[in-house]
Amino acid sequence: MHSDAMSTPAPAAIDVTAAAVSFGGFRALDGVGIAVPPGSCFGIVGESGSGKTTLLRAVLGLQRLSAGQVAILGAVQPEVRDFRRQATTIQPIFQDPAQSLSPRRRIGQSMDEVAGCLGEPRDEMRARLAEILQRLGLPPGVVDLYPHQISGGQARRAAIARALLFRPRILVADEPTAGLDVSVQGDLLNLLQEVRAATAVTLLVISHNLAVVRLIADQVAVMHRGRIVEQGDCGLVLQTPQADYTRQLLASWPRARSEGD
Amino acid sequence: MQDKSRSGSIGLHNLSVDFTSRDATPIPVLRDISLDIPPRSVVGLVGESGSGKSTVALALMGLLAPNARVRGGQIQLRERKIACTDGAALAGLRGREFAMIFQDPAASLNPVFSIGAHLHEVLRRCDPQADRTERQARAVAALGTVGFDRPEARMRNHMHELSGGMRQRVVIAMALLARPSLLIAEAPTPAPDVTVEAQVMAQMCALRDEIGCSILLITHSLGLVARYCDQVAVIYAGEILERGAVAEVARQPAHPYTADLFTCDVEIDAPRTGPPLDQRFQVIPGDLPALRDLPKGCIYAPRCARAVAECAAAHPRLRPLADRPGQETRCILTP
Repeated sequence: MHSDAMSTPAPAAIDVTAAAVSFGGFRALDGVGIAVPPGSCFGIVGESGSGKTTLLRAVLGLQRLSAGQVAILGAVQPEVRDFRRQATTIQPIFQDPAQSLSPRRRIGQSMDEVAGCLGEPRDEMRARLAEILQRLGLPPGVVDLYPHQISGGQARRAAIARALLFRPRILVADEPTAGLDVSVQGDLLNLLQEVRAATAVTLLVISHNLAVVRLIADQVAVMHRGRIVEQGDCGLVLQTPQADYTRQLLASWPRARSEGD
Repeated sequence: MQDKSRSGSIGLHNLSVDFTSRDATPIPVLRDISLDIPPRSVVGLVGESGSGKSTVALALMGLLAPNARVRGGQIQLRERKIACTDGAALAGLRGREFAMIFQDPAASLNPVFSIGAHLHEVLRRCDPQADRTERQARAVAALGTVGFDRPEARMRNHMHELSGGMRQRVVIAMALLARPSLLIAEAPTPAPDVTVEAQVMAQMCALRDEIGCSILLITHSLGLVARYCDQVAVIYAGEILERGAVAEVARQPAHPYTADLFTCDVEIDAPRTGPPLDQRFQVIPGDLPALRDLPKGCIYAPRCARAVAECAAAHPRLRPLADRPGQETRCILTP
């Protein structure tokens, strides 16, 4: 951890302090704290059952904490959140983003909901949407189609377009590359990277893909059994891991090219 | 227990499978697939989703969907030759000569039966002479072999009481008792945690050492192939584009698709050039070809950066490389 001596310390985009969640006797989160600087990319890695997704749900207000608190952009979050207001600040991209599109609605109808939420005239929103669709490489005609009429990759993009339409300050992505082939995972990652470069959005990314997190994240937290065993500058943590568990994770990573190359 | 002589490769020759679609047109999902699996070796069949790699596994097990039609193919098992179209013969191999570990271990376990019941069932089928006491002893021993602390207690557990990794080990124990000549293992997708994955792979390799079987690993992970396989076959849209020894293929891919796959794979020690925000990733542009309307020439040519006019002219054959024995490619550009 390095000490900041900046003149105006902006509040962290996401600030989780001493968060705890128990399911029965199982401690899913146990004294977890992270601070995500605005505009940065923060990675959370660890195996399944380590509490990654519970932490993400807590950040989104979908999981009540038994102790601790979550502050978004400096505002401590109440136990019951106003999701309509929250939607403009923080947007999730779920593991299967295509599932966040209603199968009974045309893509355009799902987007219109955003205008309602923002209180924005529909025409203005549609104009912004056209730009976003173009940036994501989706044909404008996609708004007239149902989710089942477009490919899985296009549906992923449409769901991301919807998240971006809110002009969120924070994006939270849960395993964005899970289940994707190597030839297409790069496409989605490049997309997220371009969105970050263009909008300075803060990205909290949860992944078991250490190789990817290592490249795109500024900071990383390694979770194990509901606790953060190590966190800090991404390069530093993964270059010189201090915790045994981090070392074990790195050692288990299968490499496509043999070590001696 | 009959001892299966472990000599000789297991061969699959010229397997072709069609799926019949709703409008009754046959879709050629596998075309001329041949594999050679030497004894005690681990062969990787690597391909992306939709490549047909799981269909190969199901065809070997005789478990294809009802709308699949095997057009041809032959399995060579020691001195026996079995036609892939012969469902009854394949059923005879299933669970005895060939065992399969599916990507979701929960799919192989019945939630209402105990773990012990599953293991007993395998033994009743593979070794009908063994009595209950002997079966029990061997089942407990198998659970111990795959690393359960209190195997006797685990016999009474049900699937929901076990974690994903433990279920995977139960399925491996079942394979251990069946003593197959070939274990077909589907790597789970999306990949589980690397630590669990490493444990499961280590268990499979230990199983191979214990019973002397061969392993066909069905995966989309080049990392797994490089770490655990001796040989690899790269499958794309129902065709094998390249095969050979893993070390050779990784060092010098003989097909552009293989090379592109390696380029897209993000290495754990990939150099980070510049700040995180500037990182970009490799992709292969385009999509899999439509199986109903395959390109006339090389099926990878429409996405291949190296393609020339000649590539689209005629369908290339899988041919051995002159200077690298054992490595085969379909690319006409490779010398």
